[in-house]
Amino acid sequence: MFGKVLDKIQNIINTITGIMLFTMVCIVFVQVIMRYLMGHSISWSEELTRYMFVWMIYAGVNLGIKSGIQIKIDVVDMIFKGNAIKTVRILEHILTIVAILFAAYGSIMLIKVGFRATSPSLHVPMWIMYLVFPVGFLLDLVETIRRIVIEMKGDEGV
Amino acid sequence: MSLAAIALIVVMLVCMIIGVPISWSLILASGASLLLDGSALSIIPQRLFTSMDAFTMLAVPLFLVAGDIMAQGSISRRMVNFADSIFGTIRGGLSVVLLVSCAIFAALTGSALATTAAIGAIMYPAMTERKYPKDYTTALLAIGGTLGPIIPPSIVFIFYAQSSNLSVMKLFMSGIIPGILCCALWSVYAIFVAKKEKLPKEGNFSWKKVGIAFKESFLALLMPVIILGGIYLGIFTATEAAAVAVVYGLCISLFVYRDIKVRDLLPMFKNTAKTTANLMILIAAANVFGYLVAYFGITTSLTALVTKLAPNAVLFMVFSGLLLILCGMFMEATAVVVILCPILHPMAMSYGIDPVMYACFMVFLLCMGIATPPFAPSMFVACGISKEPITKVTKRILPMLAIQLIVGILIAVVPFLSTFLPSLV
Amino acid sequence: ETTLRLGSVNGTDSPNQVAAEKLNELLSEKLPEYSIDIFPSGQLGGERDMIESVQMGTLDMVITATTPLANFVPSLNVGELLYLIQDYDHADAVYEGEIGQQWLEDCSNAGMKGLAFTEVGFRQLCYNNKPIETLADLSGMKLRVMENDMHVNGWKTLGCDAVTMGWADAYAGVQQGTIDAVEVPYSLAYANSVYDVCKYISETNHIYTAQCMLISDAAWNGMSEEDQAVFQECATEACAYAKKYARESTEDFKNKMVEKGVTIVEVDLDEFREAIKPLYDQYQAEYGEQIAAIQALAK
Ligand code: NA
Ligand code: NA
Repeated sequence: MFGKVLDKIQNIINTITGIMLFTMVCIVFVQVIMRYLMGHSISWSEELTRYMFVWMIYAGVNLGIKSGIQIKIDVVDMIFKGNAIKTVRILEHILTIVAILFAAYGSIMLIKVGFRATSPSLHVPMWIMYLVFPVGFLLDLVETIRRIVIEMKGDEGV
Repeated sequence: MSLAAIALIVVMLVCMIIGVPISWSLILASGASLLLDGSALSIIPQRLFTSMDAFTMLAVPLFLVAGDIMAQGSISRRMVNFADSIFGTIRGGLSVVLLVSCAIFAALTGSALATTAAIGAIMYPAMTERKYPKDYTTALLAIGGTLGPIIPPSIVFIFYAQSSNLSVMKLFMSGIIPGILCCALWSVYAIFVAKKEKLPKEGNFSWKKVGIAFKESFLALLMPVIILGGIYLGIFTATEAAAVAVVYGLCISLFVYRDIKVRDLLPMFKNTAKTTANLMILIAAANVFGYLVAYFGITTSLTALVTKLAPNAVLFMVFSGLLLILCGMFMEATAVVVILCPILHPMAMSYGIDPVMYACFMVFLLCMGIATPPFAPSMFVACGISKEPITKVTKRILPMLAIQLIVGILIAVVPFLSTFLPSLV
Repeated sequence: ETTLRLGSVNGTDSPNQVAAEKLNELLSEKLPEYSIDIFPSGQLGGERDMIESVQMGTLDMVITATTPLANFVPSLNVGELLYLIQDYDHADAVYEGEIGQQWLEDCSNAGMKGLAFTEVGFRQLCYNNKPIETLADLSGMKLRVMENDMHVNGWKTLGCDAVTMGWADAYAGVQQGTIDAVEVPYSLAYANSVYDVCKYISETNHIYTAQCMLISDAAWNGMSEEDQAVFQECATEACAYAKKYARESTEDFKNKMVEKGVTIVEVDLDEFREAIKPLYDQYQAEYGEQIAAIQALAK
């Protein structure tokens, strides 16, 4: 049940990040057309695409954790077999959780200073931009916990 | 070195070896060292943000999308068919095409990642279709990408010029011969591998086949012409070129070749967004790590060691070379240049070493690091495209790195390679 | 015994470096328990992130251009208006007078302590095609500017197409023709080898780029009141020293660039100053009082 809700949320996020990527392509293309054909540039477009890019990245990391495409060094897989590898996998996930917690804790302070600055072109308060971190890291955390549960159950198919 | 500095290195290595994803290994090590130092953890998300708040980085996902469109439709198949009709008659010809394409693309962009993403997205699907081993092709893409900042224009050389007050133009020129030499030697190696592993070969050369392939691929071939021509003529930057490539690719795939449907687009963009997120957090996490290496003064204490060990120019070249290779393994090239150039450049001058040659030597070795694990951004991008595991690709890339190292040594031994072209401007 | 980390994006022969080194030297005489560890050339990040780090206390000090600082201290923005600051005397009257003092105090609203101002000098126009002497020559030119409304709107008022892009892109762009021009002070133009990609520099003197030395609240509040007074004194002296260096070295950098083959072009400044007036009207509502106060200090 909980897993299904999570899947649904992740699918919505993936759709949003996909649309963001499409929008970025359009903005950059229009920027070229405006500068070259109209001789008039939009000054806020670069900043908008950069911030969308950042959001696309940190909102989307959990999708990679889910599908197991995160890049890692796979020496352990060659040394250990069977139950031992299961233990190592769980250890990997626990260390990942510690890393996520470090980053998430740091982002609280970043958001605090974000109340005291605006972006140079769009004049958006910076804390709105930094909000991607608690949101993204929370999703990463939940997804990693799910990996541990799956690892313990020995269910590879989920 | 402080306890925090040691923790940074040790925790990172241990986590990576256990198999924690590289991005989280780097973040965990950074967090642990910050806690030991008594500094705020906010440095982590801040670096994660600012390192990606960069327009040039956007080139990577945009070229990945462009590549997806070309691969899902028939553009890349048609392009490679054409290249194949000419070079496929040589065993391993396509691997040479890949390397040369990287060099050509490198002459237009300063970025290694854009080079790997652009060429990989086009060539990888078609080459695996022709039974080129996946790990080998991935390694070729990773190593080819390092030409991006070696052959001008180059972001890394621009940073070097800033930190040393040498002329950017001279530094740019210094990279050309070593870059081409490297590409040539890899090509020789690629042909050797093809012979040894009996990689596929397409019948015999015939003008008729080339003609047919050209006719079928004409609109597809306009794509590189538009990208390269547009950048060369100054109509758009490399990042913008990627967006133009996406739009052009969509137009001909949707309306002319009609092999992509509008409903295919969302899954494609969703997939690239997912791949990009995983790739970029890795590059960003390495930025956090590299920042802390500077913050804790690790590089400066290593440099002090080099100074102590080097009584003459030859040993200085050897030790600083080793230091640069070591730094390149763990850090991003521009970050190392910014930290080490102000220290090593005046030292090289004091030993009477040609400054342009030393700049080329340093940048070249650091660019080699772009494909040297554990932190190997161009390999990450290539693996992002192929989904091949790092260790397999690393085994494949080692001989190519060895060739690159030999060229690096040649730069030091034969200054002519790097100083001839700069002497003309 | 405290070591303070100080960051700057400018290189080792920039006025910022001079200010940082001078501060270190003065401290060793007057306040030996403090010393400065300098991180030049953006080793600890860009100006925006370093300011943010000072807010968070993860970096102790920064010397930054006022342009990005204005995103944190909005009152500083007015100084970014084209042709508002007339010359060096005017700049000193503003930045070293009451207005400057107020700006430094405003920094505390953003959670930092502003210590003193120094400078990298007036900005100039660097380009390739044909010499630009009049406003008409400027028309339609694609110019890379910093990410700041005043800069963007200012150049639009003068008839340019203002493009915001990163420096590395801009450097390659002006060479390949993606853009026509960049604008930087002489010292930065030289440090960034602008002479390699630009044939001409028009002496437009359009914006005075001040640099502000800041210290984090954490570092500042950790000092006793007596130490704070001495530290402030050292900072003021170091910045004044660096400003003197900036002005002396500007001629130097200019000459070096001429030696490298750059042609310096004189422009009709009165024409530019006249043409920029609509920009001031645009910002009248928000900054009218400040503009008037600054203009009143011009001789
Ligand atoms: Na290049
Ligand atoms: Na590396």
